Amino acid sequence: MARQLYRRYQLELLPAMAIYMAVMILLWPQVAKVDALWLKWLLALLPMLPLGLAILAMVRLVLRSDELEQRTHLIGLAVAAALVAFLSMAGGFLASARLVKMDGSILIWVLPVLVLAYAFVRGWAARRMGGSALCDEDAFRIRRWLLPIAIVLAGVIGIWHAQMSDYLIGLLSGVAFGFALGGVAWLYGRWRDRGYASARKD
Amino acid sequence: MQNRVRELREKHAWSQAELGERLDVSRQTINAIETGKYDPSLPLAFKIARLFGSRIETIFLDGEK
Repeated sequence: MARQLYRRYQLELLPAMAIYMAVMILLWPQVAKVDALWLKWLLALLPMLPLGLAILAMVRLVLRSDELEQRTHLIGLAVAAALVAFLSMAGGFLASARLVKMDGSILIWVLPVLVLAYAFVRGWAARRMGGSALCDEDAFRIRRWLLPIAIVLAGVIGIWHAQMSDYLIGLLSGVAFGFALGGVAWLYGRWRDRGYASARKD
Repeated sequence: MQNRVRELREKHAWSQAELGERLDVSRQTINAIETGKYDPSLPLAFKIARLFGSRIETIFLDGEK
């Protein structure tokens, strides 16, 4: 029986991310509108619940992976952690020297930068081993939909931006950018794989 | 390290994916082993040897000799 590793990963990750988006669009903006302190804390930390599920899905993916896949995960995570630590230290020095003003909300960027760097480096490491992290064979074919979804989201923002809050525009723009980036990475991977396949035929 | 995994796999008429399923590893891992880009761990090497009914040293060859 096939391992279905990435299919299982997507089955765990996608609902978590859908819940995360629903929480961020519907519930998180209410933080500023409620009075009770405990409710503010609850709403502010609510996104951590689906994010925790997403991180659990990532941990399970690594644990279920075979030894070569675990090696590429490790290379990706190690380089990503080093990059985030480096950027954090640079930011910390700049803020301490009062050259740049930063508040705590910048911490929100730690996970996206970590995930992006990890995905990029893991893809590079997998490719060096003759594989591809961009075209996992047992995954659902959702990557081809990333660019169309990004375009639709950009269209939605363009048409209805007047009715949207700055928060919602920022959130949807970030999601659209992430989807577009994923779609471009997928197209690039396919282009590279086709070039490699035709070179092997020649 | 050189190895005879591709030769043995083709002898059994298995695809890389089929061999991967039998060893519970990905097709990419089989490809990386066959092309010499990755040397498997000792447990996986023994698993490969058991599957092909051969001794480990007849499959994985010490290229430095």
